[in-house]
Amino acid sequence: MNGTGPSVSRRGLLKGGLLALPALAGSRMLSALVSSPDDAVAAAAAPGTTAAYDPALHDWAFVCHADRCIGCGLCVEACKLENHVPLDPEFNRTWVERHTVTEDGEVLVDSPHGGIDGFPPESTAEGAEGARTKEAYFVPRLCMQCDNPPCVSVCPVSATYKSEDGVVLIDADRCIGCGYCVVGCPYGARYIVPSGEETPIGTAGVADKCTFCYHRITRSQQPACVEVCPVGAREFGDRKDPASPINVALRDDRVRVLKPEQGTEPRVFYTGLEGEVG
Amino acid sequence: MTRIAALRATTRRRIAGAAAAVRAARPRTTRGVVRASLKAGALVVALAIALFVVGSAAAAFYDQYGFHPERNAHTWAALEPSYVDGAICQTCHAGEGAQLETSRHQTVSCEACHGPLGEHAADPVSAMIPIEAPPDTLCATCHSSSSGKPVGFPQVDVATHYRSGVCRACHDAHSTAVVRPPEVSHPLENLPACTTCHKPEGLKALPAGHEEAADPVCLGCHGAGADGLHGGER
Repeated sequence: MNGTGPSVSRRGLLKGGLLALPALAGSRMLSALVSSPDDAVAAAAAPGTTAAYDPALHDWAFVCHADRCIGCGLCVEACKLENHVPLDPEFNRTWVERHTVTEDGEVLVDSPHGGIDGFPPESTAEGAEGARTKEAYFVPRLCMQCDNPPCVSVCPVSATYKSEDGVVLIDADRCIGCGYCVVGCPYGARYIVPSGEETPIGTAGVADKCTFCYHRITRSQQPACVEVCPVGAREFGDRKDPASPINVALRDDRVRVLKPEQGTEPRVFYTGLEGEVG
Repeated sequence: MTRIAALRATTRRRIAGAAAAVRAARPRTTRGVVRASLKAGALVVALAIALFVVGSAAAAFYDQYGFHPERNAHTWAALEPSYVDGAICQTCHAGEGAQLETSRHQTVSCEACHGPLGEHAADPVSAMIPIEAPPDTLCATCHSSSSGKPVGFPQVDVATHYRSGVCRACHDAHSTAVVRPPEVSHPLENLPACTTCHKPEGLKALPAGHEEAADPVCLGCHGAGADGLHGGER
């Protein structure tokens, strides 16, 4: 090794790099010249609403207070109305469960119609009749907007992705409705839009789930479920905004996540939960 | 000597030949320079056009089949909300807003009871329909007792708490003030005490907390029974 060889190849490399630079610049200029009609549509739709929204400046998080929830189901109703979710109780972006802990330590879960009509006085879960109840509480459920989302990992066509602000979204134009994400989600947060139904931007046969009401949060509004919750059991906010009350809840309340062992790193947190919840 | 002379001659010839080659290679006139530049220019233009055509095709292809999370996020963000921010309601409904502020319902947003008001807020005059008063069954949505509700949350057994369906005869939804039936003398006050029959264990039980106030006032509202025992209409 006398050093000549490597120095020559390094020079070659530099030369190549210098030649590549204008080529890259040229291609960028070209792509700028050839803008798509869709870009124009997006740009036209944005002003006055979400044009000023920069996802890089936000870090959304959600806190559910199981110790405040009264199981009224207003959130489930509001979500369906706001997001055109099928009224069939089988399909929900958000739902409410009642967890009844028996004296034997068993946790019975019931969620009649996703909780949209409220709850009967006693649990309707199998085996709940006659069981001695130690305690019971309501658990609001929604997409956890995981930072390590299994749904994104399993999607074969990259139709579902994570936005910079933390929200997991679905590109309905790319989704092929294979249902891998529905099975892959440990929280059961997704469903395939049944035939005869349409999501606001997708059609039947594609996956759908909670978006934190993306059209609302990008307008500085609260998600619909948070807006209508009468007891403040749902809190939503920006972890990058020091003034957001969500930071107080995350700091001062003892929050936990659902199924932490899955390593999904949810950005929906819970207070007032007992035992295992999933 | 001859060898040297021959060598010199060869060298001279070579030098002369090289010089001629150099002269031949070099454009000798400005016309030559222009021609060469034109050729190079044409080549560059042709290349640029080719690049543009290929680039456009590639861009169109990418545009159609490529991955555009930002654009898709825009599509989600561009949807129109149905629910408005509750603060806007007070622009017109300041009275109700003021009542709510000091009431136990202060955490309850307008749309929790009245439903999505986006259309009404955008066009308050013609989109009046959603504003109609919700039915009293709505009260039960939150206040009917069930297991799982936090201790201390006001909940009642709707079947036995007064009569279902008339919540707002006593309770104001906005101020949450409770107006009990007026405690004034009335023709029914000489009847036997209500609690003679309506003991906690007898007939239809009294609602909890009504023992004290029951006798003088209860029939004022409770009297309208289908059985006619209490004089029919109140």
